[in-house]
Amino acid sequence: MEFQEYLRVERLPHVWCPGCGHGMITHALACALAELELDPRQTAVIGGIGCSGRAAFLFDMDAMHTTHGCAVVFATGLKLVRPTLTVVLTLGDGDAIGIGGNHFIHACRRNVDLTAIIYNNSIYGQTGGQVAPTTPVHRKSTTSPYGNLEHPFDIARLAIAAGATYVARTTSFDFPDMIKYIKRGIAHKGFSVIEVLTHCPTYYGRLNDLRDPYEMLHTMKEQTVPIEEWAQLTEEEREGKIVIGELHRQERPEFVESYYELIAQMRDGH
Amino acid sequence: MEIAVNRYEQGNFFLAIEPRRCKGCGVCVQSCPQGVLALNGEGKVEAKEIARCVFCGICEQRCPDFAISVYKERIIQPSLV
Ligand SMILES: Cc1ncc(C[n+]2csc(CCOP(=O)(O)OP(=O)(O)O)c2C)c(N)n1
Ligand code: SF4
Ligand code: SF4
Ligand code: SF4
Ligand SMILES: [Mg+2]
Repeated sequence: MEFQEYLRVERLPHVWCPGCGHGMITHALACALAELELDPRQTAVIGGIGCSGRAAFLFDMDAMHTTHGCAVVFATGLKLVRPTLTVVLTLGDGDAIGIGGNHFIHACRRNVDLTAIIYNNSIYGQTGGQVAPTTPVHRKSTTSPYGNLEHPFDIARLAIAAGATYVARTTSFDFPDMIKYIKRGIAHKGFSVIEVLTHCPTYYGRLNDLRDPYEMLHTMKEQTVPIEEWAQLTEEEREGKIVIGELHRQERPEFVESYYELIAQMRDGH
Repeated sequence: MEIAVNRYEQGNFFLAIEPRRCKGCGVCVQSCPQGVLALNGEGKVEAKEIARCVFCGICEQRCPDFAISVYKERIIQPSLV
């Protein structure tokens, strides 16, 4: 199947603003599903609330648009009752680690076999550009007009510390890498996190003098350093840079499988 | 409803642009290494210099709106019989 066949192309043009990175990530996700030759009847996309969550609407398969921050919870339930389904999450940075931070770290800890794609645009896009737990320090948002005083979460590092067993980070500029990591995340048995750094030209861009989407893409890309080069950098050189690439991979018992194994054991015991 | 798709050909290769989906963000125009693309007066993208296109696929990868498709496989011509 071609990637277009995984999408509800009749819903295009989508609702995202001109130049928004969310379309690029969604394109890569559709390509990843197509390259893995997944059966759409055996795949589900679960979105949270936010511009990013709306990606779920675009997939021509079972999809859920859940409540803000709770997509991981719905997905965990779905995976438990339908363990053979491939379940992919499309989450915003606010959705995943702002309001949904608690659910997110516990899904990492449990190692549920889900693939979370985090559309990290460093801001609350849908509600008008409020500061997010990912907004870099000193950057502006509608609720930090003089610059953000708080330091942001590093989503990938948070996921690793909380126990996620596959963690990669890339940008919406790196199309082949988005596809590669999403494919590996889906193939990995356990909780996979693919953090995609992306751009919201409408709010983050406008408030931080980066109105042009192309310019934003490049500015973002220039801030990143591939993991292969990161080790050679001094602490000083790492200042203001973000490491990208496959950051973590680990084998650990997966929650849903362990759950069914326990059920089987209990049955045998009776 | 017939959906308009503009086709820009170079031999058997072509670009297909769906103006209805294009939001005129300009990302593809600035990303194209060959200067093939330009926005028209209605803010929609056109392949003004299709002869210079190298079918690298960058515009398709960068377009957030699924508005450009790059076809570089050899299109099998219908039999003349
Ligand atoms: C329980 C609840 N609280 C708050 C909101 C309002 N709300 C909607 S989307 C959103 C933030 C979206 O930001 P993010 O998750 O980063 O997604 P983006 O729009 O940036 O893609 C908020 C706070 C809500 N819908 N539900
Ligand atoms: S508000 Fe920002 S994140 Fe939301 S669609 Fe517009 S550009 Fe994208
Ligand atoms: S395929 Fe490459 S050369 Fe051709 S228009 Fe697109 S970006 Fe330009
Ligand atoms: S990137 Fe897509 S939406 Fe933006 S101008 Fe080009 S074709 Fe139009
Ligand atoms: Mg966001």
